[in-house]
Amino acid sequence: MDTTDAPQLIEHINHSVNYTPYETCWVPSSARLVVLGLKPKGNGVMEVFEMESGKFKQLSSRETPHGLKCGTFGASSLEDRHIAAGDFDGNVMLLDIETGLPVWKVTKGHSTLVNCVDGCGGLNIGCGAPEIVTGSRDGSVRVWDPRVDKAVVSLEPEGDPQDANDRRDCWSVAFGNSFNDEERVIAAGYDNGDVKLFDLRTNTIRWETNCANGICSVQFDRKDIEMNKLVVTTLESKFRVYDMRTEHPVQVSYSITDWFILKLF
Amino acid sequence: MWGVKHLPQNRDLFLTTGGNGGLNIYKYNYPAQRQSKDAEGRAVGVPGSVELLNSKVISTQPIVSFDWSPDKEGLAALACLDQTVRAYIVTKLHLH
Repeated sequence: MDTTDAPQLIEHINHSVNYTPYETCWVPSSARLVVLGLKPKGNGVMEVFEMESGKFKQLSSRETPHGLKCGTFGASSLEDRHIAAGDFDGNVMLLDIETGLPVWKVTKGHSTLVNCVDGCGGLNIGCGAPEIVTGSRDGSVRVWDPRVDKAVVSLEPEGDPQDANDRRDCWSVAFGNSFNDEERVIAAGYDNGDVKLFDLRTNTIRWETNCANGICSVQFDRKDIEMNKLVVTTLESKFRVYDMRTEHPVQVSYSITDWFILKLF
Repeated sequence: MWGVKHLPQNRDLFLTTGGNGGLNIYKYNYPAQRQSKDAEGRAVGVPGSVELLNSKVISTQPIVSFDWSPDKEGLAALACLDQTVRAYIVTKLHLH
């Protein structure tokens, strides 16, 4: 696929680390990068790098008590640029990237591993208050306002929460539809292939479907516009693109205007 | 074990990261009309199409994270389970 117009993927920097990296986030409006990960002994690490003459120059390396699994700047202000993160012990926090210390933390926001996080309302993008959403191996999806120490919304899993074989595992969450001060939705993807669209204004499940395979990732093409497209990736190397603009009046669901099942290489 | 990330500068381009260490970049093409009417006159969506623009396998291990730079179009950072953190540059995105 080497046509003249095809985008080329060129490796610029390849930097080895002595831990398992799980998240990479560019610090907004800078050439710096935050990497979150898990050290061999089980504690967490947050490193900040700067791109400098074809290399990553390490600016800081901070340890946290538990491995860090996921992070986002989506709910941060451009002034503070604190990173929202979830760890292997179920804690949800905002970390100061200069000091590595939490400026806000909910201990055991989930009972176990926080798989995924997304943020909305920060970085001068879109509308509404800053909010963080997390999805966990405990099956729940929780929405956080970083001024409050309790979840604003909690979507509890189906099945027996005490039985790890019965309850769901939430693998991916994403904000969307945040085009004014009131509207906002969350898309959540689960290990059994369920995708749920939760409307934060009406506090109801607005749409749900099942993609047969576990949902690795969900993302709207934009968070800050009226829902347009939702891409859902699944195990078995397949993904689907949903056109979310047209709501079918009778089924009270979004018509699956297309589901591309493309084989990946 | 793999994810999807839309390009911040163009919402119709997205990249998927694979459990096989591959990167795939796609473009969504809208249909001529996004809505039509069903037999009872209700609005229903119309499918578009997806085009693979390019792909590259960069590791034998899964890529667990990918982030497009919000500021520089085509610049991206990723984390791979082979314990590397990498910066990638994707060229010619403005042509699509």
